[in-house]
Amino acid sequence: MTRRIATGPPLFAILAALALFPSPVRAAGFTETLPKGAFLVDGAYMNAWLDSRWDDNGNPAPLVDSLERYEPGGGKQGTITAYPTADFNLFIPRLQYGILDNFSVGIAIPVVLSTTVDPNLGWTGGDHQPQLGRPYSEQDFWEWAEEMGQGRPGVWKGNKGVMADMVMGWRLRWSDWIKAFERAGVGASLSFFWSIPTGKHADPEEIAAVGTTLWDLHAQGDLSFHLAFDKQFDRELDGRLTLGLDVFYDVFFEHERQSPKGLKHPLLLNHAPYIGDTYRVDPGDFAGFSFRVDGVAYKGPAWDTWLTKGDMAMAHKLPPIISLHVTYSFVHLQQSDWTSDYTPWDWDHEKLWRPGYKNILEFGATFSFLRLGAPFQLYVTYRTATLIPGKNTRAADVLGAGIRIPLKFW
Amino acid sequence: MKTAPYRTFPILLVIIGVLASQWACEEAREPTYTHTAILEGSAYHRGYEHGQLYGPDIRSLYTRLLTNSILPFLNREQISIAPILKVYNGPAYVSDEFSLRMLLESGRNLFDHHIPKDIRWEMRGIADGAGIDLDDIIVLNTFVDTMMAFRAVVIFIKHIQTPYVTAFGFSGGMDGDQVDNDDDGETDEEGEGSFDGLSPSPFATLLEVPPDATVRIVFEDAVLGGLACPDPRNIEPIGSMEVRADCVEPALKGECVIEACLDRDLLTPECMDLVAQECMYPRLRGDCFIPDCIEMADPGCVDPDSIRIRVGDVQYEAGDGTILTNHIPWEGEGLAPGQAPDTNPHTLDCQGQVEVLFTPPGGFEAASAISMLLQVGDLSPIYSPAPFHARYMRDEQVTFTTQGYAAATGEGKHLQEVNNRGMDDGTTQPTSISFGVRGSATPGGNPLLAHHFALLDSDMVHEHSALLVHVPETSEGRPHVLVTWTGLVWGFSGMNDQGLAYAVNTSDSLDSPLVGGILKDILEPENLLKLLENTDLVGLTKVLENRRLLATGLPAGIAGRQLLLKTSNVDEALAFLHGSETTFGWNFLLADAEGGLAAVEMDSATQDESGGPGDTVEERDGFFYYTPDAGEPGNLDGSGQPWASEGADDLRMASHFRKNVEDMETLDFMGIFSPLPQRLWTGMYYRSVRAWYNLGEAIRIRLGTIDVGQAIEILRIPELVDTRDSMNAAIFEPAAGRLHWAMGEVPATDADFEVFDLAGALKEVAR
Repeated sequence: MTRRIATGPPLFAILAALALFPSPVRAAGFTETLPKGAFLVDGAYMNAWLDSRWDDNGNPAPLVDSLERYEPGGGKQGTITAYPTADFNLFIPRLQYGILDNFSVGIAIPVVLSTTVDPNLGWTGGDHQPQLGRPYSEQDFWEWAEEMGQGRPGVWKGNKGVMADMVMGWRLRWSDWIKAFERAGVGASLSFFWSIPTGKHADPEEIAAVGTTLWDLHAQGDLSFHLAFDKQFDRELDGRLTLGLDVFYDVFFEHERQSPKGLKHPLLLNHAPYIGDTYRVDPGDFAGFSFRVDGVAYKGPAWDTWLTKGDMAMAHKLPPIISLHVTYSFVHLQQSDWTSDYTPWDWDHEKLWRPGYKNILEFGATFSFLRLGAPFQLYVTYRTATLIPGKNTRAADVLGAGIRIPLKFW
Repeated sequence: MKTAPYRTFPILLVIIGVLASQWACEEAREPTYTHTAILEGSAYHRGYEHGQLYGPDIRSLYTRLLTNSILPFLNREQISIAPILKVYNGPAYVSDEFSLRMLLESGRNLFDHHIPKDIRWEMRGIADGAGIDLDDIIVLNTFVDTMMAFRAVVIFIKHIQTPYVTAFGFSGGMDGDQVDNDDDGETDEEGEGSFDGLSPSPFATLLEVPPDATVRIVFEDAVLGGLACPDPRNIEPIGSMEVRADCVEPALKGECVIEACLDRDLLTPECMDLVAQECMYPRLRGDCFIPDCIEMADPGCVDPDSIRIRVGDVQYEAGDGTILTNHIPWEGEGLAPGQAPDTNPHTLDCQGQVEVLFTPPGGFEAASAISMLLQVGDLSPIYSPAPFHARYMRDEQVTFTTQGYAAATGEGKHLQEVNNRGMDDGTTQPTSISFGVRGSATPGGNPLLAHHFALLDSDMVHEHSALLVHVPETSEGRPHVLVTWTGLVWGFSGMNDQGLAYAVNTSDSLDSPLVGGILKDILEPENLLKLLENTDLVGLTKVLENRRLLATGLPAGIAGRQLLLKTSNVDEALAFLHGSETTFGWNFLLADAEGGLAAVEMDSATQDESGGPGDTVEERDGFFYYTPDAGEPGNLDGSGQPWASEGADDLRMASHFRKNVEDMETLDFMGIFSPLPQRLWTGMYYRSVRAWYNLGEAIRIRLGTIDVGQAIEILRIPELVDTRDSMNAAIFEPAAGRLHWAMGEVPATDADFEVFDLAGALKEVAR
């Protein structure tokens, strides 16, 4: 039986993806589990930023469409251009426990520390307005709108210390029961995750607000199924290379949301009178795969410390001091379906969430000090959906850093 | 057995892929924005079905067009109206409620007193079927008529506060060139080539102007003190411009300022005593101002730097060396009569007239028809309605020919031979257009009526387009089809089972019940006495203190609906319209299955002294009509040309009056406040004139070949398409009982023209 001690973020590495938008990306060792009776405490800080999306043609585009504004009966005032940027800060504490050597469970309680959305509005002038002697300038337009009761949307800051949806899950490395897999140096696992709806929806009256549910974070589904394989080259390369493949299917549940009533933005967000007080969103499911390469950059010395009770053989089995990984993920996104009383309004949203896909690259480094007798690992990751074009998806970048501390009490 | 695990990968991938594809949702598709329905039965039943079918669409139209757009837009104009009509200063019209209440009062007046009973029941049915308050349906169905009349009043009030042209002409010896340049029958009379002011016209202003002539224009700006409610912010420094100038601080009388603010140099709106805010923030009651300072709110200064003159597609600006300006100050006793009132001190250096001398580099092109556009603003910018802006004169358009034009073209001996068409430069959009053809204008002789309506899309009305067939109970009228929008009981075009088709366009006019009511109050003998005692605006506001803006008459769309319900041919339709009172200025084009074609130009006839409609269809104030028949003198203009035909079997309209050119007679005793005919004030005028000429040209070159395909081609000519506020387009074949409609997009003519067989549909219903 292949016993693996956390060389990279094991079971709940997936929660790193919660930092937003990117898919449920695996970290090293898609099939990793904790040793029986071991705990792993993990705390990660994530910063995600987002300023573009991939449109229906696979081209980069602003997150929202420009909005053309018309003077009632007076032609085109101009176009409100928007290049919104969003910045998210999250803290993700995780706890995992090995029930069996090949079966672990865990829970993650992500907390959004803050979210900032800057709509970054701009303006392209429209028709000549004879009564003004000029086309509307940006200042002209917002003065006009202000008098109509609609102030210029500003930077939104919120979600300070707000919980996202909690995630629980388990992983079973079933290949342990099949000798052929062990002989081939292959691990295979099934994982299942489910969310507990502790996140909150965005304030419907805010133009730039975002919520903290899994759908808002666009990270993984409310239910997530994974089948993963790892190939570790123990004999050939002294375990310095691991290749992994994970295929997954994520299910999102339909949500009911409150319709905006124009309480804060009477001209731009007064939809309830015709779409109904609530509407429903069926986000559509995710399906895809990840391919991962883990390499040992520096194995380092192994000391006979208290951690191994002086057992050098065990010390040599501890994770290398520096390991690196690269992951590529392809995620197919189904059409998101809005259902309100008014079909054209539904379409206005659905057209931004047509079927698409995202291509995600993740680069990571783990610094493990277990071999030196220090019971923790530090890790950093950088994940990007902006390098390889996608379709009908937001393109986020995420930088994360965290610490893991394995614990065993008996 | 090393291979087993590797074989597992692709198998699992395939399985998951298959599952994923099974669960994948279908890609969303853009919904259609056009609705078609056949509504049968009693008026209430048809309305109920309409409401049930399109409830969310109706709510969307109401919310997005009215709640989110028109109502707040009109609320901004309260401060233009309330200073004169004091009733709108009352607590019932607090700023957010003003427009809705005004539209509802007017709509209720129409509903209760003017809209036919069956139509009222249909409106009730829509309200019940959609679960929408009847008042909302009333506003939705009447706001166009009230809004157009209200808008005309507001534009007019703004118009009188802008600079205007007091003299226009050319230097260059036109009084000795042996040419009757102004086509007045006299040659080389003294002052030929110069006019007191401008008289907007669809024709040229002067003929055979020397190419090297210099244009001379004199602008002036009325001293109105910002009407009765100046904006205190205009007394403050504005940017680098010290508007306050000579005004002695404080500008406001002490009793209008709250005590804590009395010693401040600059007063904020919060400093104003409530009474002083009678005109509503940010405007203040006029008598709060130190008299000298009222003038500062609108001191009557033309801004010479704002002058722009466009010739062809080249724009010249003050300061570029082509435009020279001279300030002509007022000189007290030496004032020309009527140049300025004598109640103000006129102490500002900027006050007076601005003379403009303009010579384009190299002169004007010889032997050409030259179109010139004039633009000028004043020096009393206003904050409200926002944005902050100077008061700009309507862009005035002048056309003249240069020497050699008549010889080169064989035309241009008379002003009427040269169109004041202006330029298709994209700065303004064409208006609504309609045309009818028959007989020799078409390949098969069958009549057609084509219409492209453009007014107010706001990027959303097109989503509510509807083609509704009404099959009423026999007692209620004829079956018909309307080109309309969800929630409305009317359309701007339609056709009935007999082939009677109509298309109606707006035609801005101050001859509406709203202005008529104001004039009625003013002309009351006792009120005239009051006005003589108080010749300023305070007197006017006293006379009008109880006046409300209420539309009366038959709303235009509902008049069209009645035509379809009650008449069968053009003659009957003419009789019906002749006997109707209408709410505003409207241009109806009528066609029938027998080839009848007629144009009707209507307004509310508030100055009608004939006693109203008679038994026969005769022209009267507010009702002018013409057909393509050149044998009838009434169908020809003063020069003997058809009013609106290129041949014997075509007729066209846009959004201005051709025949009803003096739709509102000026009332000299009212001075600058006198109502004016449409050509003098509405911004639609030149746009419409240009569209009308372009349409005529398009028809002329196709005469004899105009079938449905050609009609579509005409409607799609870029110079005839309002790309901003296009709302729907339709071509009716009255003899075939068929129509071709395009809507659901902006412009509507970008959509495919769908065919609807009304005759066939009605046969199906009959089975």
